Amino acid sequence: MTSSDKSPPQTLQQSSLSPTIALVGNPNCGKTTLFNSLTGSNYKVANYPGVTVEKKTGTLTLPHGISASLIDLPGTYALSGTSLDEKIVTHLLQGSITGEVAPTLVVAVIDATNIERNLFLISELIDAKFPLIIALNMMDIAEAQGIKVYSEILARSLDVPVIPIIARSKKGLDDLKLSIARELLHPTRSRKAFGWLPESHALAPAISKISCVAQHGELDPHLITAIATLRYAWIRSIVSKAVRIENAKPPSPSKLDAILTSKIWGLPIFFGILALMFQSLFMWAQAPMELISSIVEATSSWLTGVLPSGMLTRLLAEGIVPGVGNVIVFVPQIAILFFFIGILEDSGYLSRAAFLLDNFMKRFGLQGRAFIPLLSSMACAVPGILATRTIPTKIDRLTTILVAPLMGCSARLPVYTVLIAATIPPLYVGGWFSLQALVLLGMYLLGISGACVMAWLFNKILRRKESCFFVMEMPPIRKPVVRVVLRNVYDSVLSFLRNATTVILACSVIIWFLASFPKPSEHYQGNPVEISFAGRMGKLIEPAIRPLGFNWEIGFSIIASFPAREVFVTSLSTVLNVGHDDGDDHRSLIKRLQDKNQEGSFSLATALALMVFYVFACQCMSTLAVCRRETGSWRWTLGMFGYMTALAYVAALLTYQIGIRIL
Amino acid sequence: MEVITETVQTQKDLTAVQVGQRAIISAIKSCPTDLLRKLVSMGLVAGTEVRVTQRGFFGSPINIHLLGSVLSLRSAEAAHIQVQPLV
Repeated sequence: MTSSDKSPPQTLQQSSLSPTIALVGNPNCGKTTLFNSLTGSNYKVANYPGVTVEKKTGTLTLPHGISASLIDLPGTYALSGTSLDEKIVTHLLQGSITGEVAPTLVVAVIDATNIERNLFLISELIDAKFPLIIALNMMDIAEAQGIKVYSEILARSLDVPVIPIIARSKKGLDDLKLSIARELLHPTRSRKAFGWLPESHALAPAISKISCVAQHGELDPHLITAIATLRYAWIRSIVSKAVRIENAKPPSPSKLDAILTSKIWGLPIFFGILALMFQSLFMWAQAPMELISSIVEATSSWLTGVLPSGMLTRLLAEGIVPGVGNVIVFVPQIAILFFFIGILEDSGYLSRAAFLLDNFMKRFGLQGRAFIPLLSSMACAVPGILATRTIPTKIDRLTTILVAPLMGCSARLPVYTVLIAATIPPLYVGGWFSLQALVLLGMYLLGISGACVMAWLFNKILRRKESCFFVMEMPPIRKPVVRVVLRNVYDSVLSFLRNATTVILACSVIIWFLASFPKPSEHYQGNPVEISFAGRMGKLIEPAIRPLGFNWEIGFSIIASFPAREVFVTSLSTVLNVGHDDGDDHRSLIKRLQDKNQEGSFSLATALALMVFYVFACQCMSTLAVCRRETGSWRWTLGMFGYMTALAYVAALLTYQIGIRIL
Repeated sequence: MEVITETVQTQKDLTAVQVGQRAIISAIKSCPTDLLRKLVSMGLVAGTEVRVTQRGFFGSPINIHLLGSVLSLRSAEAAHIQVQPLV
């Protein structure tokens, strides 16, 4: 990617392809709401080639029978920004990303309540000579605050079409579409750039040599300040004409905000929300999980009953159905987890949490902003690692990536849930907190502590030469849009199910095969799995894992779950199911482990050691793949896998050895 | 940027501004380029009015209200921002 000037973007007449329209704007300007309204939430999410910045594309139907593709770009404050997200926006607009054409038209969304800062980006867009339309959003909120924006005056001063809209209630969208169509059919050819630079200014000759978008390189700080000051002076002169404030009701930072970030209430509320989240994970998910689980068991027994007995039936009833079923069982919990994280994010609470935790995270060499990727990693490390691209400094970002997989993703939930349900009694502590939920919370806290310690260590090793900083906008506290949150839950569950029906299905077949072959000879008396490939693999590593309290069945399941943690459940259930073809023995894994626990062949110490192993182990191919892509380095990827596996081994060893002595 | 001499007595950096107090930015001083770009793009230039709305434990981070939005920054970043408090 270069920052050299490209040929001007094609106009509609020149291009036979459908035009591409890019939506740009500051974070929290309502850009994504507008995108959803314009495309009817009918969009695809992909990544830009080579970089994992999310690319959302939808189809926009315009008047005059034009159809265009609309791209939602990451929020950005300036074309000259230094974070990965901001650089991607600039490069995409310039058409300097391989495989992406420069957009035919740029629609810049600006927030009417925050117009001065939003116009900074606009002034850079004008200088870069992009074909431009401005969507002036949040007109209703501005009006409520006593801010009156005269869009015609703004349009005349900037020499850019300005369309007032309210993206949330879909007002003004027809005008916007009409204006987009008009601009596509009859593009504005020339536009006055550098309006902010007085010709007589002492720095004018120096500044006019610098193309706006080429400002990425090292510029003299004095020049940066001088340019910004001149831009804002120009912006203020425009705002003084185009904006009138009548009976100003400035949005005093709400009382709620002050409480959420207060020294007294902030942290108790934060921990209360976390506790509520984990409590709900168990309580709300229980009924649907039991339902799914009983359907899976019934299907298995039914299949064995109706199908002629044979290899294929056994593959279905012992391998595929329980294998995939044992993972689908966790859909309710995953949905609830994503729902909570979605609500926290959409309401603006996550930024408050970042504010509360920055002091604490600073101590471990992380920044408050790393909190959002790390919290997302509690759902899944893959989006968590992707979210680190908003961290502008490289070492902060690398440290966050390396510790994100310790945060306890939802794929660990199946492992924890099964082990907890099998070995921890369903008691209530103090009459209210479920002991099982507390053990689960404990596992998450262990992972979080591990992440903190490792971050501190990485920070020591990677001792920074570069500057690190934390500047974050706090979006206003607002009522979360449940529709948007549910859409995200739906996307996440769908991708989880897609994984369950592809990767997990394939793993189930392979695991069943490994656990069923080679067949024991006629007069073999013992467990047939023991002499299968799976049994041999388990036995091979058994000496190494015996000090952890793991037997060969667990050993094989650990090997089998290398592609994805949840496969552990599938694998253990297959290994324990195969060879139990005595009719109605399709008990769920939990029941089987409970029995083993009572028999004494599956102790609490083993279960705890196993959970601790999964707290730290990097058993996830997708995480390794995304780490490789994001760090661009096999060294860091293998390093991450290595340190996590070593940590998992040592921690599980300690847990088991202490466990058998005190439990 | 040069500091205007007559306001020197009342110059402070942003870390010294009390919660609830308003101030006008007079300069951003000795600041790494990346941070400077970030600050100016978010409206932190000479002449912008800010109000401190919240502080974390030990005075960091500091939340400031400016141009219709709230920013959160650490005391280390706030120390680069020279302001003149308004009474």
